[in-house]
Amino acid sequence: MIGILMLVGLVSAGASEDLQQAFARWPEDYATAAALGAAALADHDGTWAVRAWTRAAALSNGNLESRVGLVRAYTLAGAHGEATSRAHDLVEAYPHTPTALATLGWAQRWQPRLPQRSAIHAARSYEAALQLGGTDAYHCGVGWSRVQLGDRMGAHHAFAKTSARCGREGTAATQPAWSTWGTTVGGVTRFVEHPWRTRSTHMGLQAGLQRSSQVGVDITARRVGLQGVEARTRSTPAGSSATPIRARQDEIWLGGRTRARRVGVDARLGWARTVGDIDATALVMGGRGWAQLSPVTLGITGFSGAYSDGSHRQMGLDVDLPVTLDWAVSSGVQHTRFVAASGPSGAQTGTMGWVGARWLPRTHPWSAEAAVRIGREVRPVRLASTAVWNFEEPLLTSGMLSAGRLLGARCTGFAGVEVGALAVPEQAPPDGSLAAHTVVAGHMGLRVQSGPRAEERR
Amino acid sequence: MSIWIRFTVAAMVLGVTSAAVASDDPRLYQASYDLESIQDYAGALGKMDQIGGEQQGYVYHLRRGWLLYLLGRHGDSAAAYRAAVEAAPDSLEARQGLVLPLMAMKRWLDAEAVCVELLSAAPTDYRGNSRLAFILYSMGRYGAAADRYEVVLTLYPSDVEMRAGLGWSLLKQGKTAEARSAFEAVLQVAPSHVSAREGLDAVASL
Repeated sequence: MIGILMLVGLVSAGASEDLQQAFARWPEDYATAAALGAAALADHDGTWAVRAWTRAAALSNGNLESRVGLVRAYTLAGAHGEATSRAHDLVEAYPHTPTALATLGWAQRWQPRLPQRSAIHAARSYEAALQLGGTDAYHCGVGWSRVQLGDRMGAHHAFAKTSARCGREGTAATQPAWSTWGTTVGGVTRFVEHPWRTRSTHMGLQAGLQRSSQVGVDITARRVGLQGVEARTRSTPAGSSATPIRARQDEIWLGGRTRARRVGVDARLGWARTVGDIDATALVMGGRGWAQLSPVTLGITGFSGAYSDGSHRQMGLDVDLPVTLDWAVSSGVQHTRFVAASGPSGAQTGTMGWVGARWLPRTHPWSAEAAVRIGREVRPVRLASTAVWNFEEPLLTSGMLSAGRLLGARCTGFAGVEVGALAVPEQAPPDGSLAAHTVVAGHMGLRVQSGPRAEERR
Repeated sequence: MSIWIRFTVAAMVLGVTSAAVASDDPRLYQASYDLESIQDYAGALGKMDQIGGEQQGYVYHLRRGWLLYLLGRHGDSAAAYRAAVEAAPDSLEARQGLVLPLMAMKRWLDAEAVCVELLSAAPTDYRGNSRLAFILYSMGRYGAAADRYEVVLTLYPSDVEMRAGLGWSLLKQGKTAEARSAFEAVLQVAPSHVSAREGLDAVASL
């Protein structure tokens, strides 16, 4: 690997054309093929890199340098399966060789399928190469693998262990630093044929502060304006009676998160008060713990809420699988239980299963997310967009779709819609099924971030 | 002049010329050597080209191969050496010569084949072994090159060029400690050896 890197450093990008001519003129010359291969890697020209290193490998009967070059070339050309397969062959052909192991780490690190698993495997390969006495520049491989796993602090420690240029670059990119973000979001919710709710509006502001990836805090203020009509469906001999209902709900959320290398926790404390024609309060606390287990992240969520009309519990399990560098799917189950403080209604429970997908491309300004929830939810707390859905009626099923677009290097605009069905038990038809009303919630917002971002060039 | 007379005159001229060239062969060879000694390779080749067809034997082809090689006409040189090999199929020196233009043209596979052929007849031949070592190195076959350098060094342990070549072959395989040892051994007896110094610097930079 070092030999390759040295060669790459020596060959200027402009030399490639001359080398291509030499490559055609001296097809049996290893040095020419290797120099062209190195130049093509430096120029990010995967086609020529593969061509040159393939010939170099053939001429040399597969020496270490040419096979390393070929793995890197296939990675550059996007043939990640081929690169990984050849890297495994390389380790088999050159056992206990740090360069071979580090090359496997390289191939794994750029493997776009199941990137979380690839990053964990890559880190292991680099660590094995270091244990075998490989150059301390391999700490850079460990560092970037950790960056890929979101562990900036761990990455920073790894980069600091080498004096190589890549280490200095990595150290600078992952310097412990504060980053901040702010989000503003607003939206409208429409209730179709609901007994009394007609619409609500909401608006929220969130500000956050984070130290590298290790710790972060945020505060969210949210206001919901509720409009409704009491006894909308009732009629009297004098005609319809319809009393407007107006209420306002204010929510304050405090959030905190911390993580170690592959585990973390995200805690939330929320307070809500509804005033106007409805008078209610709520205090909710809970959070989510997670662990990265190659190739997935497992999470467990728990919330406990004390409402003015009862108490609430929420437990959930979720699994997140990054399928490619851009795509991830997730799924989970959630159980909610609300026990009314008084009255005959007793406990309401609900179990919901959900599945979602998100698309967060690294090189495209658009992103998107979609999820479907099936099953009852009673006053669920939404962790991702901190909010309480504190309707009296259970939410039966819902689907959400949102999209975001980068509006600059540090600004993202987003919008989305969630459509759900609210169960209305008192209007249940005689066949035992639940009557349902549609609820449509739309939102849009803006998120601004500041602070360093660690990105590696191939 | 009638056609008959013209034919007769031409026949006489050709006959005289042919006889003169034949009798001048030693002098043409000597003139060629003299011109080569003053680095007039084109002139030296010109003298060889004056040698008549019947006299164009093994030595003629061998010498032409050499002079063409010196002139940088490597393709012609290889053809001349191959003619020499044909003229003396068991010759070692013709094969030793043939390797030179092939190496100059970076036709390593052909050069390797010639060396292998040569070494099958003379396994300890210095030129065959040393050139094969360099050829293997040039094809990136560093392990095989190191083995071949070791063969030469067994027979010629004081050869610093071969030891430096061994050092580079080891270095390219990542055997830095052994490479360092080889370079240091060269510099112990040839402190100004450029390649060994560069090799040691390369080891130090890793």
